[in-house]
Amino acid sequence: MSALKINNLYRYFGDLKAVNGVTFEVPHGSVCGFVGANGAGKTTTMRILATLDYPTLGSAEVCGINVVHHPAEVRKLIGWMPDHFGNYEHMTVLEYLDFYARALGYKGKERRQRIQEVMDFTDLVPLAERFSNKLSKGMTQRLGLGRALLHDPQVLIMDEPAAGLDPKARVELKHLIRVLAKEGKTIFISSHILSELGEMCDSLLFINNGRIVHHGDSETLRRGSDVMGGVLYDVQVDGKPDAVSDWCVLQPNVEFLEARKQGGRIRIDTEDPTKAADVLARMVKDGLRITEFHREQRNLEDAFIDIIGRLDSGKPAMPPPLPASEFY
Amino acid sequence: MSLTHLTDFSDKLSPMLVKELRQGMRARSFTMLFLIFQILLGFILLSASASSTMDYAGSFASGVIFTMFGIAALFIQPMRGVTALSAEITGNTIEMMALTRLSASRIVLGKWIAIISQTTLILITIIPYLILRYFFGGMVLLGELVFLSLIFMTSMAMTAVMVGMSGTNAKLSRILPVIGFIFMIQIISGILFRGGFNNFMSYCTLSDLESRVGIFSYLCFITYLGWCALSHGISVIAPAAENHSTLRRLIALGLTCVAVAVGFHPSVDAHVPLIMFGIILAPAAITALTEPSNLLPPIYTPFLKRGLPGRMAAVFLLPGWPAGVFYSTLLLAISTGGFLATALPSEIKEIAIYALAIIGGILLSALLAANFSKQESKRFTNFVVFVLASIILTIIPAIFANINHHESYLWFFIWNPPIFITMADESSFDKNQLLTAVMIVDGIILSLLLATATIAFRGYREILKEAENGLATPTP
Repeated sequence: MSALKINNLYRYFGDLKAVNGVTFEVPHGSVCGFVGANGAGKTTTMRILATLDYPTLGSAEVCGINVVHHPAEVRKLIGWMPDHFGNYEHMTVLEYLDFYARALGYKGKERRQRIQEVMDFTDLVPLAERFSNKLSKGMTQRLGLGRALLHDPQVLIMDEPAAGLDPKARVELKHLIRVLAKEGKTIFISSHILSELGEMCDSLLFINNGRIVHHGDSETLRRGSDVMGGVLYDVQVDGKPDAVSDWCVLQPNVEFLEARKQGGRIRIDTEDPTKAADVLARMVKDGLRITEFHREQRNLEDAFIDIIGRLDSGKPAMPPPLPASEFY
Repeated sequence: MSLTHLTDFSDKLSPMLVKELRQGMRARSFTMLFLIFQILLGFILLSASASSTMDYAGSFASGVIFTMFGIAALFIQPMRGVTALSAEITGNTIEMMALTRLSASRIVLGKWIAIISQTTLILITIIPYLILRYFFGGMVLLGELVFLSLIFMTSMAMTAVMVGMSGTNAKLSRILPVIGFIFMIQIISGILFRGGFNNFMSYCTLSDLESRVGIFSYLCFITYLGWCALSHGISVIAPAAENHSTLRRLIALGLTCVAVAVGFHPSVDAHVPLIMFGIILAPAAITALTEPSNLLPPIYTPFLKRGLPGRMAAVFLLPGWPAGVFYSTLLLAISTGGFLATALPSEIKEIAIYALAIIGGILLSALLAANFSKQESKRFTNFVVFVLASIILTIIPAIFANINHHESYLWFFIWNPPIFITMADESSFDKNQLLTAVMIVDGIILSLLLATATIAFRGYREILKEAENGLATPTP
């Protein structure tokens, strides 16, 4: 059973289709990054999972429990950390956590013990007597994480937790998420900072205009395999730089992307490394004096922009891979 | 770090109350009020004791104590609730609370009780001054205690109105009911103090049946009004999967039936059930007619479980304005039937014109809100705006007609039913004609509203089907 399971989910706000047929699953104990531009449908999807909103159509389940039919049961399983939340005036950090611990049903010694554990984990002990509305953004996020962890949830849903944090606070937050992942919690996290998501997530979900456009691990994206199943290579030659682009014109399944100082970037329509070796061999055979031929390590931002760019230009985001027989 | 001070409040107390008390007792608005109140009372009591006549000093001290407590309890303390829920909504904290075991009702009641607790604290601190004032002589002990209790109860109701309405997203909607409530208190105070403070004090001694019934009725009225407001606040902040409307509607339905029964009692004046209908019907119908129609399958499931009677009841009792229209029509039918059966024919005509004009105004605003509210959350605010527009469109033509002595112009505005109130006041109009006209106008508006609600109710079909499917889903 998956920790999170969304099936054909729609959420309309009048004419606006905020979530438009989203389907995905997140396995137990994994960290899944949720990426999309502002207004892509991330927060709406997360809010539905957190039982704070409801779908127009479709179903959403947390650990096999339907969020619409059994919201109270779902709430016991999830910890929700919104992108921003206000803190209370005239209330210390300790009292803030005490209020939520009481609201979650903890009593007496157990309540105090739970607060102590959460404060130790999030390093809030030195801030215990500070008023909660006088904290920095980083401290506030730690407090929010502490609040979300009070009832020891199985699934943690975090909407843009790193937004507005300074680098030090971001590192601290990343560390806490890593520790939680090691403890076996399922973490569903959205962020604009893709490089950080890539470091800590087992899988990445890209959402655009309310639709999932990619679901896979960050390594595949990083290795340079684009959404069409192609791979990018940097090719440098000795002699005329135009030689690479001229050569590519005559080749099927090899696309010249952009010129560089001594060659350029090319895209080969397959991930198969033997086919790349074939391309290199043909280049050498056709008289190109190759000085450099290496697979590009794309960053995740490029991958994301590549996917979105293809969608915007009307090309399919996830076409079926080319059969090997069609290559060459 | 010491966690020992987290035991300052018992585990048995509501978490919301603990939070509100911790915050509220540190709030400057409370501490300043409390301190200034004590200093002024002490100073005034000392001044009074220096007075030449003890009787004068006694009544002066009473007046000052009641005035100051009245300001604190009826104005300052309720005003502290004006942002009680809106601050939680805008601060994005209400959702985090919704994910805990706190229900919407516990959140709203916690906020209300916290302010009431602080008002109680102020009340307790004036008791020593009242004891001192007792030594000046001339004190109507029971009367003054009843009066003090009445101020406190009214404060409770006003705080409930403020807290309940504070969940509404528009400031206008939050403030208007408060102005209405203050206006109503002024009217009631005006009636009560007609014979002066001393006469009212003797009224408060509850020496005769009239005063006992009067005060009891007043308490029932403010209790119902406060409950309606709190219930509205609960609905506003409650998650869409929670149903707080059905209970509220059932209570109002029960009270309407009680009002009909009261009307049949021979010693009861014909106006009494009419006032009761107005008090019960207005908040119940306004809430029902303006509720957002975000229906979710789990809401329908309890109705489904009760078979055919449950499905039939759902038409009137499901949350959301479409069912609210059918429910309001039912309430209206019961009230009208009750009134026609109990009132004398000679009394009916004039009262009916006024009543139908007000009902028509509410229905017209509801019809406009139903058709011109793009956002569900703004339906109530839009309704308030349409009510205001309706009032303005009643006053302006009436002034214009009076200035020009062309009352017949008012016929052009009969699409706005409240205009019949001004027309009924004019001697130039035939009352039979007005009654027929207001009935036709109200009938047309109600028909249009019912048609709009029927169309909207049909939009629930998919949700109702999903509820039927969901009934088969086992609870984990």
